[in-house]
Amino acid sequence: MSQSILVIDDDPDICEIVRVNLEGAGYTVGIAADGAAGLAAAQTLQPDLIILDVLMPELDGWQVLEALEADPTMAGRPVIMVTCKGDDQDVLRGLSQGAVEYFTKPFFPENLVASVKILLDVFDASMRDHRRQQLIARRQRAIGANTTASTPS
Amino acid sequence: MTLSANIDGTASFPVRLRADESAVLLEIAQAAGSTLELHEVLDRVTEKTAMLTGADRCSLWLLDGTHDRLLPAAFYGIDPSFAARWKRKILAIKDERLSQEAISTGQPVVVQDAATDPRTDKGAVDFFGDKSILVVPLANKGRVIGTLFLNHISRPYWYSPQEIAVIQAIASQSAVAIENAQLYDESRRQRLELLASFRRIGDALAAGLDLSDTLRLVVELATEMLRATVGGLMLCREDGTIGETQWAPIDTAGHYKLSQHILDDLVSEVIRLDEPLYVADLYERWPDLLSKGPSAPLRTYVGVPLQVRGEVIGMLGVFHALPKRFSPVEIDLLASFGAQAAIAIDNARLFARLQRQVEELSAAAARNADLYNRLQFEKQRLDVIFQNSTDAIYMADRAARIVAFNPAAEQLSGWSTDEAIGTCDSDVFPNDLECLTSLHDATRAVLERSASHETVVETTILPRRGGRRHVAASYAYVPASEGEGPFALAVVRDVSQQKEVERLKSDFISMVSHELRTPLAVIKGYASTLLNSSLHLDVERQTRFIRGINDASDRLTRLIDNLLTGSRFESGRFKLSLQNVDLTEIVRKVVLSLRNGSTANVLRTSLPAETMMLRADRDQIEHVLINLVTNAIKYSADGGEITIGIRSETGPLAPVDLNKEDPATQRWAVLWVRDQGIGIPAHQVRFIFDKFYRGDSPAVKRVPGTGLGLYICKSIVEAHGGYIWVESQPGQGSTFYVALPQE
Repeated sequence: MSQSILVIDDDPDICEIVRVNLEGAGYTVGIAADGAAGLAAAQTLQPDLIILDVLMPELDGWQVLEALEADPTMAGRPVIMVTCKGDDQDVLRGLSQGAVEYFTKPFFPENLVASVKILLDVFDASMRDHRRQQLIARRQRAIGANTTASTPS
Repeated sequence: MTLSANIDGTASFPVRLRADESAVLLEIAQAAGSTLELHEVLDRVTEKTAMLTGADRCSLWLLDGTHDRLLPAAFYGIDPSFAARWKRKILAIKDERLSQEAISTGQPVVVQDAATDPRTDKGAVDFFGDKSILVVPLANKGRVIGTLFLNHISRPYWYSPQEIAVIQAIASQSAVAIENAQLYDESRRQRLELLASFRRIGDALAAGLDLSDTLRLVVELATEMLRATVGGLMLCREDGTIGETQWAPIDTAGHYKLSQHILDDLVSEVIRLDEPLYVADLYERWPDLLSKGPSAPLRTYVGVPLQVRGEVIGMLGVFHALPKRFSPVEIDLLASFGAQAAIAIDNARLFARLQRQVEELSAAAARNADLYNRLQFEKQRLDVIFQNSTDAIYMADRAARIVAFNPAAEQLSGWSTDEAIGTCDSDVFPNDLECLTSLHDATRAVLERSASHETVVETTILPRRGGRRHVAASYAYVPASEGEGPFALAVVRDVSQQKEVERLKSDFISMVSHELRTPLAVIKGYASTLLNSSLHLDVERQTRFIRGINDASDRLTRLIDNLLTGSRFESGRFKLSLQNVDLTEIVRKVVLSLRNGSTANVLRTSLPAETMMLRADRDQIEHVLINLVTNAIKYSADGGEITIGIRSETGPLAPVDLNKEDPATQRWAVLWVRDQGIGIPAHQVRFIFDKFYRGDSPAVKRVPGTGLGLYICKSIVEAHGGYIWVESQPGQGSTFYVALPQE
């Protein structure tokens, strides 16, 4: 059985693009058009990986991320942020809240597919976490902030 | 002719004279001594002598100062009408041989036969009918002061030696009395002169004479009074040393200039002695004056100390070009004058000091008045600033109680000045508890530090009427003065609007970034996907992807159009290109193109059958319509109905807050767009056409938008001379109206 991926984004075009590319790479893809629907779908589908937008109706990406981390059945499941919000602060926030990868729109679908592959097939949980901490440290250096991962601004 | 003794048969002295010589003398002495008035003494001497001697006529003549003339002094036995003329007669000694002889010998001269004697004045003898004449010198201690004439008219008279001796004694006695009277007269004259001088000084002072004029007057009067050549007055300096000497008369030629060391010697001696100093001849004291002295030397000096309240303040001295010129009486006179002058000088000095003080005081008063005026002016200026400042200004005392409050502060806080004065600033400007610092904290900090540090705080206050205002306050420390203060002065600026603009801008930037990124992500995503040959996309998908790219491009184009149009409005570069357009046709076209787009809403129209012509910029009107309809789509649920209509109106438009001056005949083409969307809360209606404004409800926030669309619509409509407004019910929908003028 192929690995399943949930895409939560309110833009149907983005969903379509991601779905076509991931299906082409052999994944099973589920789509949710807002945060609330996305959270419900995640609990139902138990996807191996979630691709999450930030600016969405109902629950926004941050809230979804928080709810996923708070849910013991979902915690630690890799989440990739794909969003227009590309500030260092936003990226740091996403990573700090548990996302393991952060794509800023516009993005190359091939890169997204590659990231999904690495996260699912190559990295185990501890490597993903290591990767996440590295990204956080890099962003922190970039913004020169001493903001810690646990207290997002 | 000399006196002959014992010539009988001639007239003789009355019996009393013969009987008691001493009684005669006593009588003369009594007569003369009964008065000190010179003229009375003279009259009595003359009269008594005539009566005692039995002479028909008796006259008394006095030598003048030059000792070569005799002045008439008193007459007895002359017709009064003639005496007056006689009294003006002056005898030159060289012409009056009888007097000349009497004075030169000091002895009486007897003329037995006046008519034949060669020494007599024949005119006078003839006139009066003189027979014998006796001339006796008036002498006291060998000093001759005049002559006494005894004339016998009726018959010649032969004087016995005894009689002559008695008459000599009478003359001598008379001389003493006359000299006494003269002395008295002189001293009285001097006293009068002194009094007159004092009065002149007094008058001068009363007339407001200044000190140096007073000094000069004192010296002048002293010089005049003692008939001195030159006088000088020295006033000690405040430290007691010898000061400048004021001279009078002013010796411009420098004839009488004394060596400074001689003057200093004289002055310091007077001051040291503290009593009058008389130097009868300066040459005796300083012999070298003779060889080195000035052309016209000064010989006699008398100087007196000037004393006030027991303290020597200076010296008044006079000099004479001749030696031994001043008598003890004159020295006393100068001393008296000096004493009086010292008081006058002191008065003048006090007066001068007083005057200076008065002047200083009035100058100070003038300065104060000037200062006061300037302060008034400053105060008025500050008042104007205080009253008209758009920033709230208040001043608080140590207890943070408000002592000054301006109209802008009333506006900001909602408190009236009367209410605010005396109230703690924490009550008047309550702090939003979310903010860490309050205005009250800042006030306290400023007052505690007691210095005007740069104190600026930003905080949020809660005005009385509700809401919140973001303020930036700068503080100054006002030091205590005249028993008031210290105070903290706060200038509080309402920066809410500024903050709002900042927020709008930052929102706008992130919004634009999102708005650009989203269609771009779609375009890029579809394009990449299409190019990815490994996906083996079928034609149907490829077409769908290309349409997606197309739509996203349209979205991008609209966004960029809006941004550019907005920026053109901002910079004033916006230009309409007007042409005759049919509004109905524009609506039809736009609705058609939007229906072709993948919209989930129902677009309906309510259009008149005929055309609706007006002069307008077709592209811009289309832009407005597209913005309004896409807005309606954005804020409507899927399936929500959107109606676009046109109608014609004449005269003032319905919304009262729009047109005010349009003529009643004005015809309008009114375009409206009605939706069944989320609606607009009443308090936001007046902001929605503002640049960058976006509603703050979650329902609005989740819809992307730049906050430019309605701003651009309004700008375009107003550029056409039209109006745009909205009617809305939250939860039920909104209707946007655009009224464009028809010619």
